[in-house]
Amino acid sequence: MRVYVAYLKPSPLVTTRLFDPFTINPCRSFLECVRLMRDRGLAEDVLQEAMTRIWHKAHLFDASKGNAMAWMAVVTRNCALSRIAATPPPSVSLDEAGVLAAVEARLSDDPVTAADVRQCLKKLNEKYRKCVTLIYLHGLSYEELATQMDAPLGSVKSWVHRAIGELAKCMGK
Amino acid sequence: MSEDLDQTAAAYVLGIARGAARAAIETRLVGDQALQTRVKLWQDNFAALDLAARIEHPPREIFERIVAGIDAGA
Repeated sequence: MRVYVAYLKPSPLVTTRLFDPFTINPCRSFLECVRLMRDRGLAEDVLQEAMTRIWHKAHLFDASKGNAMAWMAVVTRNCALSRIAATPPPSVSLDEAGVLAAVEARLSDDPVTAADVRQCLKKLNEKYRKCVTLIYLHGLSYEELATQMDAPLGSVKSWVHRAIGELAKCMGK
Repeated sequence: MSEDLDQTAAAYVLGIARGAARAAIETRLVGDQALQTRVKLWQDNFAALDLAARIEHPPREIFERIVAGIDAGA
């Protein structure tokens, strides 16, 4: 991971507090791009755009409002979602096993992080949980979700609406 | 009231809101502290799902491209 630091030349714009996370964050960001864009080539383009934007906006980052990794994740996500909005990526081809694996892999019991949203997701019924996880992790639109869940668009929208309500209550505790 | 804010915050953080709808929320976020708070809550909570993922290294050439782009003033 250190090797990437060498490629990012020191600049007055990049403060030391940003520099460390930079070593690991592009790897996480890349994974997020691959997931959302569903294509490695597109993911590489989006990663490049996101990292360039992060480089130029580094001086705007305010450490008092959150950590650098979270900020970079948000910038990356916004780049990916703008790209998806402009040019929808290829249809997702998740079979039933793939969907379950994608959802369950993130819900494993880990005592260290058990107090996070995964506990709340587990409390949702399976249908709701699948919808929320597929939207967040794979960037599915409502239309794609309806196809994936084999349900009418209206039903899927109302499941997501209710799921958000239940999650909000759970996370607010 | 807070129900409405959570729906908006979640639409933004989960990625349901795209294009013009997303831009509208971003504009609103600049001055709306209550919405900022909800968005941060959703982001912080869902970040746990990202951190649960394994790390995948992007191809090394991307970083050369990124740096070349920055040097060229991209």
